[in-house]
Amino acid sequence: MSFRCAGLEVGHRGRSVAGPFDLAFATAEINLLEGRNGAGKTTLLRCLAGLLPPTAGRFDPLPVPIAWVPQASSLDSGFPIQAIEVVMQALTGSAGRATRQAAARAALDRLGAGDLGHRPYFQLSGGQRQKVLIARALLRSPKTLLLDEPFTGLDLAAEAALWRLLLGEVDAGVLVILAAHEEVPESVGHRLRRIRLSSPEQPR
Amino acid sequence: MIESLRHSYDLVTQFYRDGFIAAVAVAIAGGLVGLRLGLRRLPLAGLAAPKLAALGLAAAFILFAEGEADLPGELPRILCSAGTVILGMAAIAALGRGRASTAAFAGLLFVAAGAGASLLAAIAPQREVSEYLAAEGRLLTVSAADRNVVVGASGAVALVMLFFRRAFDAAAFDPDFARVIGRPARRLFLAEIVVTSLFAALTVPRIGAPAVLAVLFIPPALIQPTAPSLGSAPWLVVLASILGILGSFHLAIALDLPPDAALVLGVLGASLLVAATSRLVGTRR
Repeated sequence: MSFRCAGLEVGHRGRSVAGPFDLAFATAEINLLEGRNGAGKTTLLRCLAGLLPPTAGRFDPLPVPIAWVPQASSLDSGFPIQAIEVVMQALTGSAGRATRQAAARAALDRLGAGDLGHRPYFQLSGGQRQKVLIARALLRSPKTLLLDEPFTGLDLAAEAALWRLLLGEVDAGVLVILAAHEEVPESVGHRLRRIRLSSPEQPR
Repeated sequence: MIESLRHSYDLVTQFYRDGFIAAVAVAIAGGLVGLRLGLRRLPLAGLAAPKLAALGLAAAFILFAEGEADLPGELPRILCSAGTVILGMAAIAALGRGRASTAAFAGLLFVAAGAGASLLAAIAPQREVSEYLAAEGRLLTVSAADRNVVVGASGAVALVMLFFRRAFDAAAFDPDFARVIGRPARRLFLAEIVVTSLFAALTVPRIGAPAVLAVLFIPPALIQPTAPSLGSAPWLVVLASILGILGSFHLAIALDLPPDAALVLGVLGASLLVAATSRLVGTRR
């Protein structure tokens, strides 16, 4: 299955900063957005997530539920929050605390981060925080997974594990779109759809 | 020591019961509201809100009362107070959020609202406005009717804050993620501003700006950085606020301190104690 953007322009407060994009995303592959800083990768992801309206053009509605993994550095470090509490924020139902904790712990275990549960989130390393945010996203059982620089702070082993995990999501039929700068391992290359965003000469 | 505590207890139960009950209610709800402001990175708005409520109250005297002997009704007073706090809080959120200027802007509003209330009191036709603004809300002179309003308002605010805690927390921690999963992050933020404003508007005229200001600002500011988890933070703040009120009444009576000063000292001491204990426990774990 593929999802298309046609003449899609993205930006803030009605002012386009990137695009127009004519792109297609496929569920059978990992869709990797590439481009220099300022090319509009994050803004495009935010638009696809429904956080920003397009300033022009259109795109096919993405499968729901959508899960969003922000850059770990974008969050407020003044929050007295444990890692497991971050993950539990993915759950919106009326389930009790014990049930939500068990689900969150299972999601962390899936990322190999089960031991981080009761540690203060902002005392974790960058890579550990990233794992927690990914666990939170996966707990939504998403049909679309949008990730903004998910490899930031991960060591090589964790990076490889995350690629494997993303391939697993793709095999399960999840639409995976991510922005990243990192080198892609050869083992993943054949399952990757590279989407190059060209940066505008000047901001519009 | 025991004798001194018994003396305080006797005086509170005989003469200051209404003020004490109202203060405890405000401590519980104010701590929860203040924590929300802290988690929104708007802690200094807790300083400005009571002053803005006083400014709105003074404005109500000019806008809704005509003769020297005329006093504005209850509804105009509440609407003016709440409206002023909502406008001020919205301005702080819109103009300063996420920037270093937040604190400066909230401080500016704090000073300006205090000066504005004094100015309006001076030009109001009723001579007793200044007296009204100064005298109403003294901690030890709360009437039974005022106590009922304060307890009702504080109870409602505390229930809202606890019932919607998960949604408020999620929207404050990562508004983008909250929106993607369908939480109305902007409406939740607006709801927090409105609840904070109503709380200040209903309590400040009855129990006084210093009391509301102390519980809105001091416990959250000291405990938020040391709380071991998001789940424990509200309870630690409420504990510190209640201990602070107990301590402040004891200080006011046993040492004959002015109520406002006793309240700030009591809440500050209790908050430091709870913050230090939670940090110690957190470190050991």
